[in-house]
Amino acid sequence: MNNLGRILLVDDSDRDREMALIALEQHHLAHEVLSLRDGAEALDYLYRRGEFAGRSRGNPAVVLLDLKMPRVSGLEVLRQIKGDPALKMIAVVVMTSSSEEQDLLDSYQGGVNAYVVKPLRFSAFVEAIKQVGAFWAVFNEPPPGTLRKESPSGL
Amino acid sequence: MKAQDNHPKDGAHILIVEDSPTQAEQLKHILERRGYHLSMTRNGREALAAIRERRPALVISDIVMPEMDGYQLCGRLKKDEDLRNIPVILLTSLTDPVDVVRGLECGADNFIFKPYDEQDLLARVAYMLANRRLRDSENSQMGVEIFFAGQKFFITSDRLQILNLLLSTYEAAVQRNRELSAARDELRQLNEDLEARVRERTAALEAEVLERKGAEEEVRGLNAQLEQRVLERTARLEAANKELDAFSASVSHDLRAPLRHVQGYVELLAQEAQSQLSDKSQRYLKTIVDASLEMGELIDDLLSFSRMGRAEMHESEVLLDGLVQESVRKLEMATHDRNIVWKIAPLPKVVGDPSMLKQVFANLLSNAVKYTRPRDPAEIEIGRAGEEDGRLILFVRDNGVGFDPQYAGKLFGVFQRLHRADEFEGTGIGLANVRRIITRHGGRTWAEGKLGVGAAFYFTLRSPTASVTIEPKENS
Repeated sequence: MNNLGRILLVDDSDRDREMALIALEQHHLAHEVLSLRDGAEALDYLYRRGEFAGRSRGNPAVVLLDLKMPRVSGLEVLRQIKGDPALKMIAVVVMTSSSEEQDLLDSYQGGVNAYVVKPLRFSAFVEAIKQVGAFWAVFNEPPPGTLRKESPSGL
Repeated sequence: MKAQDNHPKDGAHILIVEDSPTQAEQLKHILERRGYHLSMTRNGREALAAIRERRPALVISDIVMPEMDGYQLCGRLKKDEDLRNIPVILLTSLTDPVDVVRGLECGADNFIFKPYDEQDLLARVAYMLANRRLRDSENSQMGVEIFFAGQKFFITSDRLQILNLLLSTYEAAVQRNRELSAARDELRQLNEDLEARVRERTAALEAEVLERKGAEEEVRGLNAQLEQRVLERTARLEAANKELDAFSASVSHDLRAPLRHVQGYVELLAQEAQSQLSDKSQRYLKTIVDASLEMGELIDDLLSFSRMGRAEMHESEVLLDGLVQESVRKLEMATHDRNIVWKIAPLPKVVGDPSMLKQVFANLLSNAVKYTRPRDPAEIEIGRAGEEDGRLILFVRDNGVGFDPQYAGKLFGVFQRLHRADEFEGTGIGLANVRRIITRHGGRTWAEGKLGVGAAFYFTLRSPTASVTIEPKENS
């Protein structure tokens, strides 16, 4: 696992993850991405346990979080992150198919930083991923304790 | 009349003086049966003549008669030396004491009261005949003058006469008393019957009232049950509807993901293999993209429809004028290349959820715009068409392609379309949403149209003035 994991992509759909990676690749952000398959894996990563027990310290700059996932749902991950003083500063962007009022309400009450409905059109999807990724991983100055950007030389 | 009775062999001769043929006949019948011989006369004058011709053993005379009445007849007989000993019985009602005094004055020997009892009559007749001799011996010329009831009477009656009269009077009184008692008894009986009947009727009525009360109670109970059942059913239906909406929402979201993947991977394939793909292959890919986009639209519409069913309503007074103008303005931007004549009447205030009502007009107006596309100019009219059950009727009418009225009922169904997609785009959710919104506001929707001529869509909404009287609870 060479990726830095500054962008943590959590989605149970292989295709969505692949499409997201392709989109980020087009914007040269793929190397920043660590993709995980559900909420349980995401929590393991964040708390450096299990499979990720040996990873280096530091939080991702942003978590791109699907809502509907097996085992631990996106909403639960969101609540854990925002409920933990050590993690609450991590930016969380929900990326989901749902535009249901209840999901929006739950997410914002859970402290989400942004909520993106995955566009149906691929071009729009790519654009959305790019915007989100670029903003949170490049333009936004992350809180202290965030994994560092790779040196420009690596680009 | 035959004398059936063979009793008195020496059938005495009795003269009857009676002007009423029925009464005369009755007396004759009674007396002849006892073997008496009877002569019948109709008044005092006839009687006098008959007596002079043939002296009877007894005279029975009525009082009120033409020519010469009973008193006169009796008086004449008693003044006649030869005839005075013939006993006279007067038939009287004896209702007035003056009758008694008059009877005494004229010297009558006895009285029989009408109506008489047959046995009594016979007994008296027999008594009078038997005491003839006694009377013959006792005779007095002494008289006494009395005043009674403002009149002067001279009475010469002997003791026997007076005795007879007193007895008669006494008997009359007893008889009257008996009659009165009988009448009283009868009255009492009637009264009791009446009371019994009143009691019966009252009881029957009370039973009826009870029964009716019971029936009313039952009806009330059944009504309450029915209402309860309707409430339960409604609640269940609403719950089922909500569930269905939630289900369709969740399904719709689940459908979106694979659809997005179809889109994405077709796009990726197109990028990846563009140089190697023939025009035909590229057209196929484009069709896949179009189809999946179309499906996406359907899913989105289904979502919005289900959301419309679940969304909470926030009702307030809504000024339709502004709402319609806003909808029209939005459409005008998209239709600046079209010649559309908007006819918008002044619209009333209504009660409703503003964003939902906005949706209603957006759907109806965009429909009107769409289906008037072949018209130049297109005419779209928005107005009010009276009231229905206290609700305002509003309409949107156009001169577009219209529809066959036989399909009017299908128009408001989900994904129901009356035109092919290549004629007019759309998924067929607009009117379903309109109906759903109006139904949730308690109103109804309907459509009128003619193929090739135009269509009109009607819906009803509550006016704020009516809401105060119809649902005062909302204000409290």
